[in-house]
Amino acid sequence: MQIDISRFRDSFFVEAAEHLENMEAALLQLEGEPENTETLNTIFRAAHSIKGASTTFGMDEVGKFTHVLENLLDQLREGVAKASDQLVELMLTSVDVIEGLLAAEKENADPPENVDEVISALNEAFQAATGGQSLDGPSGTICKAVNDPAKPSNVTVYEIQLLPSREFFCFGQDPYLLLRELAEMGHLLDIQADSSALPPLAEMNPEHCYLHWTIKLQTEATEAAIHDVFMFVDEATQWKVSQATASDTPKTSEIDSATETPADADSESHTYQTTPVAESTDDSTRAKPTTSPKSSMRRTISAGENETVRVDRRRLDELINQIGELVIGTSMVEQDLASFGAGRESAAMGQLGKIVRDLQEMSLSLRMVPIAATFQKMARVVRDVSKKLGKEVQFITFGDETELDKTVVDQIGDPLVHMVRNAVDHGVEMPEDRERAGKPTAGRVELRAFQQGGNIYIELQDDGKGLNRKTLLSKAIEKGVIDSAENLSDNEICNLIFAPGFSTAAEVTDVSGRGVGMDVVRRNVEALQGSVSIRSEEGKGSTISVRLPLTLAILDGLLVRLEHEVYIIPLLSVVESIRVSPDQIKRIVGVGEVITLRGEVIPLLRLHQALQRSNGHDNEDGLLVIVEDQGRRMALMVDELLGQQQVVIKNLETNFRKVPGIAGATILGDGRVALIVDIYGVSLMHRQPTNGTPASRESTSLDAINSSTQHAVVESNTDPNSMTAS
Amino acid sequence: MTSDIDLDQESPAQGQLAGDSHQFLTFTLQEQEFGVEILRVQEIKGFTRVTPIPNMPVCIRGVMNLRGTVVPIVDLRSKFNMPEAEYNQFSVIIVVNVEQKVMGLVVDAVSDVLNVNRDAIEPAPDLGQNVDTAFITGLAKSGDRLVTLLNIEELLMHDQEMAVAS
Repeated sequence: MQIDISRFRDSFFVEAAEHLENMEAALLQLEGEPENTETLNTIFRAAHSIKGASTTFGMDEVGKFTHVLENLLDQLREGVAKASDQLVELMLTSVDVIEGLLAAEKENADPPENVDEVISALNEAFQAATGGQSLDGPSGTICKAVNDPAKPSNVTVYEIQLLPSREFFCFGQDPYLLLRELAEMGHLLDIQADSSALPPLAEMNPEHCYLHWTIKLQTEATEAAIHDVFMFVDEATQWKVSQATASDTPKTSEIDSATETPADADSESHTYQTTPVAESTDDSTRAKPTTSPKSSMRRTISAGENETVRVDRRRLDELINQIGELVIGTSMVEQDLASFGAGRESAAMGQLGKIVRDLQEMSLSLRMVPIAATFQKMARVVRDVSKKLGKEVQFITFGDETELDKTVVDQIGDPLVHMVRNAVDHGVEMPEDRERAGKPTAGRVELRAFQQGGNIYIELQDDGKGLNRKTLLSKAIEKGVIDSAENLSDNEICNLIFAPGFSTAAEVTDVSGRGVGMDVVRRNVEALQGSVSIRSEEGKGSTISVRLPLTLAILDGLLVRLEHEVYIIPLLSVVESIRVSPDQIKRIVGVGEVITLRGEVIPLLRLHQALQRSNGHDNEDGLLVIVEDQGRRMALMVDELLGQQQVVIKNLETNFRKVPGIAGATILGDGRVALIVDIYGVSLMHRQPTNGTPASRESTSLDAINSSTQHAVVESNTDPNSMTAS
Repeated sequence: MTSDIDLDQESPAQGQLAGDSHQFLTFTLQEQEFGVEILRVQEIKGFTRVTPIPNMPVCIRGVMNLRGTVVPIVDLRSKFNMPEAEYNQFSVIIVVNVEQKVMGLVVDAVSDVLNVNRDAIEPAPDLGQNVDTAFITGLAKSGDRLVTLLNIEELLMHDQEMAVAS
């Protein structure tokens, strides 16, 4: 019977990724405490889940690979082998390989190159583990059984009853796979299908499973191992495993009863001993029998506890969008009502408004996820990089449970990897250097997340060598990032590492230092409407601080009027707003207009000139909004301040394209569209008045006229605008 | 206020049934008739407030709020170098779907839906190298009307000036 399982594929990939994540986390944990059986079990469970599901979906490569890994894991669980550092390393590599294999399946790409290499390494490790314990009692493993045929074996005949649920097939399960797995464990003596539940043909639902099976299996495996086969069947499916004696009197053990040890193995089955062994000697992928009762792994369903529902991301976004619309719609109604008759409707309207706001808040929280998973990945990065470089690093995280918008969490991963790599590579010194400097040999890298106001801060602190100001400066001058070292504050010097094309590593290593690191970090963080800065003390270490908005969907904005249009300036960038008289605006050739605020010279940008098409407009009011972008201040001249408001951000690229100087749009309470000013983009327009931003290279003649007049104002004093100002 | 006409429901079916004949929504600009493929048309709206976008070609009038979606509005008059007109309640925005983007076209007025057989479409006349005819599918005659059929993908997506795709 053919079931269309393709629609389950996507959720399989999502689940598999989660399993891999868990596996990786557990492996890292295992490194610290190699004896922890619970951790081992977690790893095993994850591997087994991936194996089972991938086989169901026909991804044999994944299934085969995971099976080999599982074999090794089984040995570890048994306590036959020790989870040495090499083994953990190997298994971590295996996680990468599985990830690669899955990606290959997903995108129809080539599988990773090192698959065979890792498989043979795993097999070797497995052989080493099993070979090394041949005197260790009756652990029924392939090699041992072959090497040591004189040992009494634990072959038992089990009677297994499989009662699949009606919906068995709907869960993507196949009884044949289960039977095959059982057959691999030993020798199938008998299988009987019970078709008595089959309804008349007319009433039969072809997607239901009506058959039951009774299987007699002769195997060395323990009962627990047999239960393991059924580990991932759906909840309604039942199975019973009982030991059958030669006379076929089943000694029933209920599903939920404790696993029996195979101590009371049937000695009569001795005659069968060679059969399964001979069959399986060259079949290294066969399921491993186990002896330890504590390794019995049964699926436990803890219902009710932290139950989750998987929802398509797009649907969620749509819901959040619609609720955003509801908020706007409500305020439109509110305004309409207010214009009809004053105040009378306010009670009901007020309540509605409150419900809608609560609803919006709730909807936004739906997308919040803890940052723990991302931090977890960093643990792996630290481990790999420090091993590669021969450094000792102690990695500590705080605030794993801090919640962030899923979009932010997804996109912060790459920049964090860069940062963490840099910290380990460039920050933390080699052990001997540390010792010379009187520090503990093991470096300390700390990753913290916490919320402060409407922002999330992620801080990465290392106790390494810190930034060398001199090197930074000479490098920056050499690379043409700055012209001279003058006028740079200590803080500004440190933040030079975020400049494009800047890398302080003396030589390019394969860990970091391609000169794309930190400026990419900055770009990515800024794309998330965040900012990044570094504090550093030479010899003591550095702290990189990343500020991120709680959510990307909503922005606190300052509404300003420019001629007839409303623009929104992100409140986060706003420092203050002031009013100046025209004679306070000074003109500096080559820089443009500036104002002096409490001794600080701040460039002035007439926002209407930069943003509006018309520029024949005079600001006599001198209303300025001081904004800050990456530590640089800028004064924006606007016509009027209208107030503060939370706005729902709409992407302009969805239906149009990126607009220089504009970060997005939003819909105001009255249904109008208002544009959100991109401070960074606007400051670029200001700095290069002739070129504009790269995106506007092909801009129209009008644009060119616009910017050239602006330029002309700066260079010569013939423009009427300049007359009023000077 | 002009009421909105929703063409969403009926257009796909009709378009498919027509077989070799294509349906075009026709509209006027400066007394000239133009047509866009009806399958591209999402709805027709009365002219509403448009927020201008800075530093854009003149023909991008700005963006409007279409039930929560921010939709760019293209002024076809200025796109075709026609004299500017005062937009009033008779002006119409044709909302089109192009390559998964929703955009609006401001036109003087919408006329009707025209059935055109494929072989009745005449190629756009070659007007020399200086005139770009890439966004004209062809000319359709209906009685004494001459309708210029527009290829809006070409017009909105691949045009240098619009550079929407960039």
